[in-house]
Amino acid sequence: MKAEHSPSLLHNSGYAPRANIVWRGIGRGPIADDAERIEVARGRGAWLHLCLSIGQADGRYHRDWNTATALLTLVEPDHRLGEKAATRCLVERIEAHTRRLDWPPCLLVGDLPRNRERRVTLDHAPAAFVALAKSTGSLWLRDRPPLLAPLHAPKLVEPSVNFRGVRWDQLLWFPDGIPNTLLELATAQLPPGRQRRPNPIG
Amino acid sequence: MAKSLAPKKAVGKSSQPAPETIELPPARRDLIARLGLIGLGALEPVVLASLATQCPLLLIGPHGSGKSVLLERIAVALGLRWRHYNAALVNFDDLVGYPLPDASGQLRFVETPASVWGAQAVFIDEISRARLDVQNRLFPIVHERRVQGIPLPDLKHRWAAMNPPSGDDEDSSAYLGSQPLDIALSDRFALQASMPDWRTFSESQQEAVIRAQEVTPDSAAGALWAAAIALTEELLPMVQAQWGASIARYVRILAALLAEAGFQLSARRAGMLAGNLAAIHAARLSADAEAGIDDSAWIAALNSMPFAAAGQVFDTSRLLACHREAWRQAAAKADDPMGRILAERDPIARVRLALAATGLPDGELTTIVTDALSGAADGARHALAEWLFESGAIARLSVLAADAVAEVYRDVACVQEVSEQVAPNGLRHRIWRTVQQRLGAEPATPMAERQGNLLASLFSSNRLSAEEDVDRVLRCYVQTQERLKTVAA
Repeated sequence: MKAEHSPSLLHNSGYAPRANIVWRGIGRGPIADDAERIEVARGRGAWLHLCLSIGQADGRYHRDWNTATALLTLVEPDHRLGEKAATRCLVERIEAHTRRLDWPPCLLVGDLPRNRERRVTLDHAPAAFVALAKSTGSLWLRDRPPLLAPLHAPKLVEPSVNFRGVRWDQLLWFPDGIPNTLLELATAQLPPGRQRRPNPIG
Repeated sequence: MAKSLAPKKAVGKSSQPAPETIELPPARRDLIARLGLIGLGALEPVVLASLATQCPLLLIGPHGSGKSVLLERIAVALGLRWRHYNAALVNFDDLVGYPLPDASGQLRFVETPASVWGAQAVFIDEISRARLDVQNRLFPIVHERRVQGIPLPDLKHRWAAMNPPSGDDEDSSAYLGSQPLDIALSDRFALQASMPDWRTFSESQQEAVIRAQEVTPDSAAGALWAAAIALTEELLPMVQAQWGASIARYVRILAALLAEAGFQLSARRAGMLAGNLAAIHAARLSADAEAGIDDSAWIAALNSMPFAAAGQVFDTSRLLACHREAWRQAAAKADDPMGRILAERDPIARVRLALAATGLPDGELTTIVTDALSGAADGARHALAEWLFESGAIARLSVLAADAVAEVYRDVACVQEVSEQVAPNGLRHRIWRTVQQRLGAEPATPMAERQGNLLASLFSSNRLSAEEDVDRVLRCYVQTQERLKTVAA
């Protein structure tokens, strides 16, 4: 066992206490709750976690998501298109939604397990599809033609008390703050009474 | 159809009959194999170039790699009057003979069978084990074909051999007696070839090496060598006329790239390299009319560097990278935008030119950007990645290159959280305090936030190795940002 792991036990050994270095970025302190996180994300660079969860009890749930027909039901539940037409329709829907979103031309893709503290989460099917279909590696490109492959493989959520189903996730970094339209959606998903907080950074 | 390779002139005076005219086989001649030596075929154009141009040749290799036997068999096959001196043992009297006064009272040297007078070829073995005073006496023989200031008119070929000089690494400890050559002496050997390692040979070649005593030189080897030398001599002026300008451009660019990598070529060495390239290409053409000049350039570069003999650690893969880049640049026409881009040495300026150029293939742009990112210093490459990302130029890159840019951009754009315990007043603590001082002096502007992100990221990944690195990185970042702003304008 290394001595530095238990300095309190070795107070007679002359072991100098370690110095703590903690840094969260200029002017950024710890964040108390989701509402504050959304306010911070309004004016400063922030991670946006776009997700879509479909539980097994949901009427839109499919066992196999490897078809455009199944995916299209998530944004257009009543469609009756065949696979080829559904593919075309899904791509058009993604492109149309991209045009509506005022996102920058390029965004960074993040690592989900990290950046847990500061991200704003938005559960929204069209935005999640846009985020996933135009990403490759570390980069999201607005003008890149959509690829449906990332949509075909949602993550199977382990059975738990609250949720059993599948989930799509993507984490994007908005360097100049998350667009207001998305923040309003994210705020709307907060529990009632927690939807407005003063901006802590002014 | 096989070419007639009748020698145009005799290859030096010989005590043996002149080699006959001979028809060479159309494909490989395997001149070295015909001397009964296995696995050394790669040296053929180098040795042939040395013989045709009479440039000094130095062979470097471990004991038993065939240096001495190769030169000895060539000399014998060509019927040369030659001398073999062991530089570690030779005395000056061995070289010049004994001085005796003649009838007029002048001193003249009495020739002995071992003296250098009248030799057509001199082979100085173990040159790296010679005492310094002996090296100094051998120097004029190699350099100007003189001894004691007296010309050696018959001397054509000057060859030497040595073990790899001892260095700091453990592998070279076996040759502790082999000292690096003085760079001035090393620089006189135009061609410096490393002997192939027999462990890299095929199994059959290795077994043939083991059984080498059973292999005797081909009786026609001398005639073949003489014919090949004569044809190389004949082709050399044509190669020089056709390729001279391109070779000079290639050598100039290669020398600049090597200098960037920390290896300086003297002007004389650059000239030697150009001469070697032409001679090696002529030697290769003498066997194969389809031989490519680019391969000749690589062979010449590989066998013209003076660093190994001088004991400098020289990475062949680095040389190969420089060669490829130099060849690519030399091949570009002067009025070609790609030529201008490739001729630009500063990586940031090169990216600027590449992005401004119209019609540049995206693949070329990707290569230029990737090179710039890997070559630029921390701070500078972050500013470049930031600019590529935020200007949208990243969309023109390949997926892999764009990903690399995004990874660098992440360091400046995203908040990098740091949580670490460090030794009080240790190096990392001092570096962090320097980071804090720099950042504490700035108001919380977007620019200051990016600088904070950058420093925190570099600190986390241990890329700040000293306190002064903090200012250096910030300086590079800010200066490069300023330079790139002028592009945007």
